[in-house]
Amino acid sequence: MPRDPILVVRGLSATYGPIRALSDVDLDVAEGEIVAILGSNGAGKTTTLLAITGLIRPTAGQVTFRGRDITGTATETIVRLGLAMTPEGRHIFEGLTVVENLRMGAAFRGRAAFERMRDEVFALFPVLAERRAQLGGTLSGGEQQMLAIGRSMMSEPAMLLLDEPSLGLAPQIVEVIFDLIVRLRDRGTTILLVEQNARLALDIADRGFVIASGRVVATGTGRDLLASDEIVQAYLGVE
Amino acid sequence: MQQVVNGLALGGTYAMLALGLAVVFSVMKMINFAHGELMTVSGYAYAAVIAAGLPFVAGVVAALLAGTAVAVLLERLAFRPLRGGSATTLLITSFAISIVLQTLFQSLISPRPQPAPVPEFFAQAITMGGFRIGSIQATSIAVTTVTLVLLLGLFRFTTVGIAIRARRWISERRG
Repeated sequence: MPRDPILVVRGLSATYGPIRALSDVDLDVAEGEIVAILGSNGAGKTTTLLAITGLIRPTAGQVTFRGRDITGTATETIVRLGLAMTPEGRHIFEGLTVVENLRMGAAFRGRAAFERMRDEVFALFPVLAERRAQLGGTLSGGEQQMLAIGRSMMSEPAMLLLDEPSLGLAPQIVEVIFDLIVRLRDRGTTILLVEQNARLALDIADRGFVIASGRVVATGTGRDLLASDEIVQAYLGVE
Repeated sequence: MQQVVNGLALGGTYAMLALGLAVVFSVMKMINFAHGELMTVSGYAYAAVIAAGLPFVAGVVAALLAGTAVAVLLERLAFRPLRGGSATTLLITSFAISIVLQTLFQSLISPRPQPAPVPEFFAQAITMGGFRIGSIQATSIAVTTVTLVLLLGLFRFTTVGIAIRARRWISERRG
């Protein structure tokens, strides 16, 4: 690995009641990388993110973030350590204004940090600045995705987990969002991206992990993964 | 016109009562039937402090502190363990708390109303622009107005207030 690992996941397992959702997942993300987690619906991609961020308790395994064991740590503590997530389906606060949504992303930070990050987010997403007083629920899908990403950037995370940022968005909008993800990485944020759209994700990712039935079944650079007919046909559904 | 003033004063009291219920309902989706008992706690705290011969201001402070303390206690003991529970569970819990508190009041204090003397000032009336307003009504209107403005500020401008409003759009995610 060229750079220091920022996130190391070892032997991560999780269950939903009697159902085994993750078995023995190993993942590494190096600082400054974009890493994609790929796989079909129900493969365990989102579960992996939830187990990393402490939203569900893993049954086994260890998550190390910036050299610190964060397995089973409360989500709010993990956010303070510099790991943020943009959830699947965006989950913006529909009845709050754009600025108020951003404020919630910086809820544990002081006024000065909030204002500085708000201005940074507005610089990244000028459309949010235009709509700053508008209610979140009145934004378009793409704008809501930008708001959700902007909200998670408010805590100035060293690493951002993105769950299905292309979900339900028109292709042109998806392109805009993915350009932004690359820009976020170029600004120094490490990205772990969960995507069903493998082609799209591997276009911008340095490396990918393919998950099926809760296990990592393949890993490699985007080109390697796309070059393997077997993987492409079996797991990625890319024509 | 006199009746309008009386109405405003009484309406203010109801508004204060409703505000407490509404804030809890908007966040928890629960009607807190123990809300009235919280007011009773405050009332008794005031009465006890006055009966002990302490000044009016001490009584008001004690009432506020006692109501807050019991509310926090109820949240910790009764409602927090049920977070994410069904609406029915929460409803029945608040009923249960209400009954427990009522029984406690009746057996430990008295089933009869207790006197809570107020300063002389509240028995008087003030004349304003040709209208006579009982000072207790005037105080009620003033306190309601100030509280409404403060609450509005809380929900608009503070992180805590915005977070309370945001709670509505967070769906429980249970692993």
